Amino acid sequence: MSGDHSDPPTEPLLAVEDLRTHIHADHGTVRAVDGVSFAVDRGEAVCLVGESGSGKSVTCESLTGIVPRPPAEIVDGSVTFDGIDLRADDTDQSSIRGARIGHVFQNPQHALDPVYSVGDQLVEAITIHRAFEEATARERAIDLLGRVGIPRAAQRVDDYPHEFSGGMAQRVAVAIALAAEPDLLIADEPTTAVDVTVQARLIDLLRGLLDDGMALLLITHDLRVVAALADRVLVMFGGTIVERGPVEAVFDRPAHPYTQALFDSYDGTTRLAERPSRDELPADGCRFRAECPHAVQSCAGGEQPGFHAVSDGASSDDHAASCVYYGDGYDAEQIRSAGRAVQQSATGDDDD
Amino acid sequence: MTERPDTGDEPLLAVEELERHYPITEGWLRREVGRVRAVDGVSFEIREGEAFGLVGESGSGKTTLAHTLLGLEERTDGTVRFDGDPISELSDAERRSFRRRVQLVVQDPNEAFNPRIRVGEAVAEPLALNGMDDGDRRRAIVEDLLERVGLDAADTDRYPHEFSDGEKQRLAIARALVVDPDLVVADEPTSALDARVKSDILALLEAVRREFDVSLLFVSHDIDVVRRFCDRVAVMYLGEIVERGPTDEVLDSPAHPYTEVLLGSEPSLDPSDRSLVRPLTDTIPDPADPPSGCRFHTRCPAVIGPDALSAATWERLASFRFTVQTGELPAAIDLADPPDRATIRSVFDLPGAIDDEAIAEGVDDAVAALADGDLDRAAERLAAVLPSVCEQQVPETVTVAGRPVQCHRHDPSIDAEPRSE
Amino acid sequence: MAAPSDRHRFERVDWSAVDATGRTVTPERTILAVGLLVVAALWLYDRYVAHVYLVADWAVTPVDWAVMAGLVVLTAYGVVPAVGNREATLRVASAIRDRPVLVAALCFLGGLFVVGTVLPLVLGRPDLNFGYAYQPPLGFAADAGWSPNCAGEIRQGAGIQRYCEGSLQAPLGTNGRGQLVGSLLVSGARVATYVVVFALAFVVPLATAVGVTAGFRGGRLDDVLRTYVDVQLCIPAIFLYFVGYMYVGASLALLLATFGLLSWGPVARLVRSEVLQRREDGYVVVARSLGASDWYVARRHVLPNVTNTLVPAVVHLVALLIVAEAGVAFLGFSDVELYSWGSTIAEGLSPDRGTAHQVWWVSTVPAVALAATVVSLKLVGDGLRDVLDPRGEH
Ligand code: SF4
Ligand code: SF4
Repeated sequence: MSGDHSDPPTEPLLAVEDLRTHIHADHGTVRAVDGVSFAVDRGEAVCLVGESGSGKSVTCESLTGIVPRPPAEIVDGSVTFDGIDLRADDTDQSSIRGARIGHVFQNPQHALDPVYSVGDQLVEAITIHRAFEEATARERAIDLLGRVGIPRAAQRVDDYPHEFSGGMAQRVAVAIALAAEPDLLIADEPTTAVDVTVQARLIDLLRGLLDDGMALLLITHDLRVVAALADRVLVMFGGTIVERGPVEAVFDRPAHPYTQALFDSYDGTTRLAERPSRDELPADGCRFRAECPHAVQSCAGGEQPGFHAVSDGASSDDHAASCVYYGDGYDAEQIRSAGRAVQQSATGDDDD
Repeated sequence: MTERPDTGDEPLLAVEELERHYPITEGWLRREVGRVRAVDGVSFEIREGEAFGLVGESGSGKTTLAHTLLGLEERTDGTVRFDGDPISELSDAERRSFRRRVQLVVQDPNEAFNPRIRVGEAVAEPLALNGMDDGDRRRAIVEDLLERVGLDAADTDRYPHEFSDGEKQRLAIARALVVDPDLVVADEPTSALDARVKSDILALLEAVRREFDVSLLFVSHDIDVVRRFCDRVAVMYLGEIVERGPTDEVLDSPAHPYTEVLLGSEPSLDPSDRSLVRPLTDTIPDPADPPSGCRFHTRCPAVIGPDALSAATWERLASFRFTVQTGELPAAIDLADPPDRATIRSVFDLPGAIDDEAIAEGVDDAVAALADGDLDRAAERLAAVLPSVCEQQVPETVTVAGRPVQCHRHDPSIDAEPRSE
Repeated sequence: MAAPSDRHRFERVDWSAVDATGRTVTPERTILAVGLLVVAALWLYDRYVAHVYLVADWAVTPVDWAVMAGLVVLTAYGVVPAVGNREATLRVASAIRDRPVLVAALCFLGGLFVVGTVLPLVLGRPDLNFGYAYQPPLGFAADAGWSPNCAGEIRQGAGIQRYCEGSLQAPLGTNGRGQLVGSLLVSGARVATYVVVFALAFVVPLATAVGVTAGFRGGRLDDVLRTYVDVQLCIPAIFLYFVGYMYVGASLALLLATFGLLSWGPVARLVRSEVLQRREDGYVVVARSLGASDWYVARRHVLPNVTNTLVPAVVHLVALLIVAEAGVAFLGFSDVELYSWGSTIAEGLSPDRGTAHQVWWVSTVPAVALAATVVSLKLVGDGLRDVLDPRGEH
């Protein structure tokens, strides 16, 4: 947020500022995304991690406006993609969506139309944004299938979605998302419904795409997938980002009490925790307040606490957490040591 | 516990050579033309109070196995003993008692409950089905139980859609416990849940296990869950158990190559360690036509090669052979427009010189066949010159460090050492 | 959750003392058995001893017996569970109350049922009264020359034209034989009610039974049942009715049998496909693992969950049967003594005096009744579908 640089040579590919999306339901309005800001650089892998209901999917669907409206309503914020304001009225979102930003979802079979062969769907995705001869488009379709690791692509291009296993269907979905050579791929829990062995191959696939220079915004609830893919991590809770930083920093020193709780659930012991359900989320102050073991008086009231640098030293990384303890006048050591403890018990169990 | 019949050292549940095959039929007369061997000769035991894990990929037959134990699927062969008695020989009364003593928790909390029935009634259903006609008594038991699983007695009057996933799973656990079972079969009870909720549910199950003194059969593809919850674990692949033993031992020093692949596919929590293990090929074979010999041989990174070849050569040739055999050709090789031989060699990274002449010739032939676009001939040639004991012989179950493992590499009579990193 | 220290505090159930055989005597079955026995006894008496006159001079016909048995079935499996499960019934009732359209439609159908079952017994057949043919309904007038007498005022029109005004004696007018259209309406309501009762009590359970059996059992039985339904769907019911007609003549029983028994295919198919879908659902698997029978699972878990599609389908079937009956009657192939709405409409459309539009009331009044019945059925179908889904509550 160093806005006063006049010549930004490293302008991010995607910049999101104070995004707010509300969902209007019968029983009231849910602030599903409540002031989210982040940026994705070219070729970078950013992971948005959080649990269901944290607003991570709605955030990503709001970026390109594919979130169903109504019930959702994007009430505020700016989304800039490669210098184009995606929220401006005169921006043709469909020329960006699909063409320069690809989407992949959790359930590939939902994204694929069962009555068309995958080839037809790929050709459609290819020709929607660029005029191609039928034959050229088909060739490109086969190329794409090969690129996402579908064996014998030339034969399988005429198969129908149901003829693909879950992992292979997800590859097809990725191929469709790649059809127009996007600069950014938004993947929403792409490996959640598949086996670990299949997940490993999908991770390989995404790594390959990153190596080719594509940027990735990955949404997941699985810290392992984050560790395997991310350059930078955004931890989301209750519609806001509570911690952000380079993956090594976040995994080394989980800073926000919520992130710590998340790591804690990987630690291999079984403990019972009492926690309120989602609809009891506090309306003001820190969203995590009701469940936070460190909560103090000043956590209540006002907005979500601002971001403070996590490390006490003059470290240059932008590892920051939205917790009052990292601000001036608090001793963050208590929370830092809690972070070290969960990090150790979670990974200690792991490196056997 | 004192009320339970004295069973001595008898395990609570003993499964011997259990099989569940689905006939594949054709036409009006339903002539059998083949069989899906979903569960194919599986043996294990669950002791009293034990948590036993069953892991494997989808399609390994683990859920079918669980359903077969419960009598939801018919056994094709083998025996299941509960408390020492084969369940196929139970009288009607005993069968009812068996059905009460073994309860099921299903995977998806969203479809675990009938949306039209209040949860109190749903949790009480096992009581009613077991003949408890007194509604007040049922209600009292259910209310007490709901509090025990962390819910509220007043929740009985609500409908399933009013609960979160984690709460529904608590309800599902309550429903399983309501008839005071001895064994709870939990089929992926946490795989639809978020990490923290998952953690809570596991903690609840752990508490329940101690408090209610039940054994648990935990069917899961999630190794994390098994690691932290199960005392012993069995690893299933294509209808067979390939390795079984105490959880720590199996997961810390896996003996079977499939277990290694499964463990190595799980990303580490350490972002600086991003290695993932690759099986030889990715295709899970069709359980209707499982591979000969060791069923894992088409994917096994440790598959045993001919003596004549060095390990490094064999590794590349094995990869070539099984990639061709499963048809997982990379994009660079389009059979409709096959590349020349040199390209094929470089794509598969084939060794230039192979000591064994017959093999070298066979590999040449296969490359030539591929260059002609003839995949089948290539596969045939490779199979002929690159035989593997793993495909020819079904591995015996051998004991490795006190636990049964089904792999030739551990069989002393086969001339191959376990690969250890 | 409390610390698990107070282990196993809850009531220990002595399972050996709990009777697990399941109850064989349920209120439903009791009512069904008693009711059917009574109907059977009456029928035997009527048949072999002496004619039974249950009410006034109502000679009970075979269709009446069938419908009585149907009413017993509906009471046993409709009313008894509704009373037994008061709570659920009250919930549904309160949800219904919030929907005025549904309430109106239900009232109409309820009225139709009462009128169709009770009034014909009280009123008997519509009386012939040739002296008072084509009396117009109250508030309307008709050519006075069509009938020897006019029950109401006679009004002088232009020239020699004289009009007969409608009167209270025939509030809905009369037909060419002087029968009160009101009475004809009541007789027609009886036919419609019979169709509804027959469909709900026999056709729908048959369709459900076939669907559930095919869905749960699968295999060869499924093949057979499915093929049978396919074949049945190809046979036009009207064709079979005409074949029967050649032998036994016009008969409501024949009509119900042929149309009713050939029309349940789509409902059976629907139930089957729903069963196949639900069979894998967690709660069904759990119930089956507890040893619940297919029927238990179907009744408790499958059918209540398919009301979204089943209720409208059933209602559609009933409406179809009503319209089919009216159609056959309209064509003149039904028992004229029954005065189905269809035959009254036909009569009104080809009057022996004047033109159809001059004696419009003879055809229009039963047509409106028929239309209102079908529309009410549709509304009830859609309304019940919404009301029965607890997730729809708000
Ligand atoms: S701001 Fe307060 S409540 Fe929020 S995480 Fe920090 S200590 Fe906890
Ligand atoms: S028997 Fe051979 S193929 Fe099978 S697991 Fe062992 S080494 Fe691999």
